[in-house]
Amino acid sequence: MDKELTDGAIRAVFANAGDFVAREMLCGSQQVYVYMIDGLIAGVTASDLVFKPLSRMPELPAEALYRRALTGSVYNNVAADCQDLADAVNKLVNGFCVVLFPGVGAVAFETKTPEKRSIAPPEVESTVKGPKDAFTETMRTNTSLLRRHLRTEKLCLYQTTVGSATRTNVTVAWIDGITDPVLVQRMKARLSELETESFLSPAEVEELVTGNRKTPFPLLQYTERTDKFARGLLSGRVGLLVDGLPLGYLLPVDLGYLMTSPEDLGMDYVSASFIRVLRWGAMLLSLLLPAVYVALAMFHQQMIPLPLLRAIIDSKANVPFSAVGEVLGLLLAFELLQEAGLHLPRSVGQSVSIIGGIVVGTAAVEASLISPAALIVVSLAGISGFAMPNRDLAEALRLFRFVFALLGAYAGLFGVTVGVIGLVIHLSALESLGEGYLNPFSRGGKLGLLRKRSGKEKGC
Amino acid sequence: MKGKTLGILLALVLGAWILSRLPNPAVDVGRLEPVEVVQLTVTGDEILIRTDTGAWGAGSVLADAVEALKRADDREVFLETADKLLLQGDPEKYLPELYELFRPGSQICRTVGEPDLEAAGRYLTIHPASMTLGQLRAEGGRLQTLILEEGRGILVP
Repeated sequence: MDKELTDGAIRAVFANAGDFVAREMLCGSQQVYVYMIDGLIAGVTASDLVFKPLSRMPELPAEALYRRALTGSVYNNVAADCQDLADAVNKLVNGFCVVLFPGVGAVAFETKTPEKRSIAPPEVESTVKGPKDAFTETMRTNTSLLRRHLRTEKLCLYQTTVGSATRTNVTVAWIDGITDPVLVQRMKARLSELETESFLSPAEVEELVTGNRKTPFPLLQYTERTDKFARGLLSGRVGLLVDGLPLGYLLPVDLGYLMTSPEDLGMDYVSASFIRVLRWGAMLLSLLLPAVYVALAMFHQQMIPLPLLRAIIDSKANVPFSAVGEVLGLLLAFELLQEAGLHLPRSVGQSVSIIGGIVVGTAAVEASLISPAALIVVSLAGISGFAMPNRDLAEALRLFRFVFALLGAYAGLFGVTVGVIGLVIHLSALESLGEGYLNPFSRGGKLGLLRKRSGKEKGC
Repeated sequence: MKGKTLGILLALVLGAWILSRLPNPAVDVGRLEPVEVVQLTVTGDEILIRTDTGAWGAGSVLADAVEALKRADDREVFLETADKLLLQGDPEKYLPELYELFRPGSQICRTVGEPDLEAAGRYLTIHPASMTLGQLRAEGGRLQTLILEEGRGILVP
């Protein structure tokens, strides 16, 4: 788009835009053109802060009028010189009102509509004691929320545009002096290297930014909570805010980050440490419990304590399916229930979960279609999965739960062990913004299993 | 890239083949017939093994008797759950095999006649024998004898 900045050129760009508004008016004795996109601008703001001052300007040559408009005679919050046609178009699609002084230049005035979703409590990452301001779809609102949490001049916000078709505004956030500059450079370089038409959906953002989606494990952490985002920046990570997405991304990410929750900081260190240990245990249970049950029930019955084994055998006496059939069937049913619950309205979703989980489960046990032991094992694994603070991680674990259960059915505990080794190899090969995924387990790494006591808690 | 994919595929096939060569075949827990009481009778050259589930097998050696016992039932007779072992006759020479076959914590005693094994199990649950298989193996000693008559039992030294 290297055309000259003229009335015809601007009208040609928006020839098929029904919401594009072009208006001619007199500024002094000079004719100027005013352009805007209806819906993106606030009419009253444009009238009061652009049209009125323009119409009251004295009779001067066009060049002098342009300079006065740019330097304050048109009393608008933002008055920016449009360098070329592309710049003018970019300003228009971002809610600016562009005034063209033919043959001289164009000035863009900010007249964005205040219509946007108000700040609401987080819906997914609910909190008991934490702040209730979640990110919205408007990037500038999100940066302002961030500024309210981090009132420091060291908070850096680098803004750029990604997507040749969508021209999505993206902000990279970091704290000077805390974040490793190499990480910031890597992030900027990655964004500048992106060659994509659109940058709209979370899937696109995540795939393009991480550059490696051959794994179900999350390589960047998303959050809708501003305090969590701010906490991430304070721990030396790089943040990413995308206009149109009501969430913020944090990089790099490793297993330790994914297993901590900002809620941990809202309680005393003893309770927080207990919860963290419990969470790691829940992760192992979620991943391995169905597989270990299948392996024990099919290969290593000797390892089950005698009373428990008798109870399992008795409960399976009339069940027509093998242990692996039961477990895989229940895991599938569990996944279906979750999926159904997600796509239904919240009130109906809860009913589906209750009917599916309790009524159907109980009926299936009573009809001897499944054994209580298998139902308990799968339910425990499912509940443990819900204890994960990161949903992406929980979904990855759900996938591997199936794989491990199959390995357990194929080769018992030996197969499960092979699977665990394979998973560790896979995780150790993953990188997020150049940092290892299993960094917390490396020498000098911080697993964060126990929450550190703050100075206040120590009585300093 | 093709070489890497081929390598991964080969590794997966090799892994699957190795896993399929494991010595223990899979038996679903639902197919197991749990046994609680086992009676081993040695008479001359024949060994008779009976369980409280009603299954029995005989053979000239213990392995044959166990094999016959397992074949006799549609379900998989699971001796690992047996925790009460009754001996009759002269089974001393089979003790090393018994140590491998049954849990060390299994109670072990002698018996006379052909007792009702379910009743024997009930009795020994309330009045455990003084010796377990593990103790016998480690320390040796004299086994108690269980006598069951008309539904009443007694363990005598």
